[in-house]
Amino acid sequence: MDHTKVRVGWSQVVVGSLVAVLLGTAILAIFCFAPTEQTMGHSQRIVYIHVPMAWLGLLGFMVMAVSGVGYLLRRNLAWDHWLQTCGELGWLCCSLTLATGSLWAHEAWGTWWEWDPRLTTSFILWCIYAGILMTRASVEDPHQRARISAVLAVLGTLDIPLVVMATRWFRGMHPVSPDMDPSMRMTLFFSVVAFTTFFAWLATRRRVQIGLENLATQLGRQIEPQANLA
Amino acid sequence: METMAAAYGIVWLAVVLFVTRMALRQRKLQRSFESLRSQLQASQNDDASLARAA
Amino acid sequence: MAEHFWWIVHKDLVSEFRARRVWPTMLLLGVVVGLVFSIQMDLLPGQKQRLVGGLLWLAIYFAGMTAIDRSFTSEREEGCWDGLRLMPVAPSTVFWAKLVVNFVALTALEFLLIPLFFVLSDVPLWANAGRLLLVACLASAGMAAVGTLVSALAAGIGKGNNLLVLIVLPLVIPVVLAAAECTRLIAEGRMGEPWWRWLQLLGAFSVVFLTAGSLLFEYVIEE
Repeated sequence: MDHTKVRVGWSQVVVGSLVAVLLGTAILAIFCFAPTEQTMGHSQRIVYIHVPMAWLGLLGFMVMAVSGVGYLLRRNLAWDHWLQTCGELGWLCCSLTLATGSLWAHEAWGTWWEWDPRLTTSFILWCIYAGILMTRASVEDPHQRARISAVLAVLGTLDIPLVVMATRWFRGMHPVSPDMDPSMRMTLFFSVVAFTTFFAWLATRRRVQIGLENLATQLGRQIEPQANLA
Repeated sequence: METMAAAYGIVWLAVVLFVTRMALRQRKLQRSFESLRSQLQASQNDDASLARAA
Repeated sequence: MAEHFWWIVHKDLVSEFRARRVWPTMLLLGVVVGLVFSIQMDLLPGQKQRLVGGLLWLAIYFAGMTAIDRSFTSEREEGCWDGLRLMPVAPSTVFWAKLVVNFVALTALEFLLIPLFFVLSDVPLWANAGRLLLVACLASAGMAAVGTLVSALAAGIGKGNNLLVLIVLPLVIPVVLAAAECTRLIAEGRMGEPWWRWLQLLGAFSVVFLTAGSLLFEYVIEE
């Protein structure tokens, strides 16, 4: 059975369609249902994409740490595949958080960047993600790579309370929990759910691919000596 | 308005690039498995011919 | 266990005093960075109190990491690594011993740099010496914990060493940031509630990193 050809079974079609419908509804809600904000106008709609990205950046990190602990306890590389998936997607979401946040900051505060506590700590989180991914690329042995990534992910997670609590502990420009119209709040919540579902679905597909890539590398190493002997 | 469009544009571009990267990797994976299969086949044929010769 | 702990600490400190491989570089780098930063501060006379905290702790971080980074590399190079791992000693004992050595290194650096910054910047850091000492102890403990763990990881990889050193800064930023803020408030003479909150944050992160380091070390040194 050829596992590398993308076989689209009916269950995948159903799940994929549900994800697409959810995302489509979220986009509709963002542009048609949510009212236009008084002060900032249409630019305020960036919040419906910025907040989900920020949430996913943090979630990715937490799942990375859980996967890391899972590997350290079980020594099953499947945990490491989840770590890599969440690392890639989480880093992407963190980058998009900084990018969308920067665009919004330019509209709201007239500056692209501020060394505000929450922005600073989000940037730190991005650096940790990048560091872990770069370190993974430099280690060949899968188990050593898994072990190192797990330790770094657990250490990095200790920074998360800082990111989350930054605006509550220290004064800064970044809004904490601004007053929002109920319809805006509902749109935001729906947007978070839709993007989380979408990225979870992407993550499952990517994880399968990582598993196959590792299998191919492993088989290549096993078959090569045999081929050379012959 | 432009800022909002830029923000949404960046996010969707990133998603498209990620999915494209996954598709390219899938194709590369297919080629790897095909090459592994043919290598394995070749080494099995060699083993069989060696056994017959012996 | 205490015997093994003190044996490792003694071995590392004595070998460093005899060979003088790392500490002179660390101290010299600290002084050079400190001098450069002091010149920058001089260009903004009204801002010295605000800048001294951040610049002091950055200088300590960069210089200190040159020493901490080497804490396991020398074991590898001289073939001591396997011996250390095969010793009938709990991995956490090795971690705490290496941590103490790194803590001593950082403390030596701070004893040099803090007076240097005080003299060059003319900021009254010495007015609250006790509080500054407390900040220095907590910050050194936190930095040493993360640095020890990551340098052990780097020693395990070998060629990926340089990349790992880069990852220490974002990991240790909460500690460096809190220490810098505490020092800034000391320099500005503001010992109120903000100072205590930053100190609590510093203490909390140092304790968390020490605990995490001790628990994770056995996974770091296995092969």
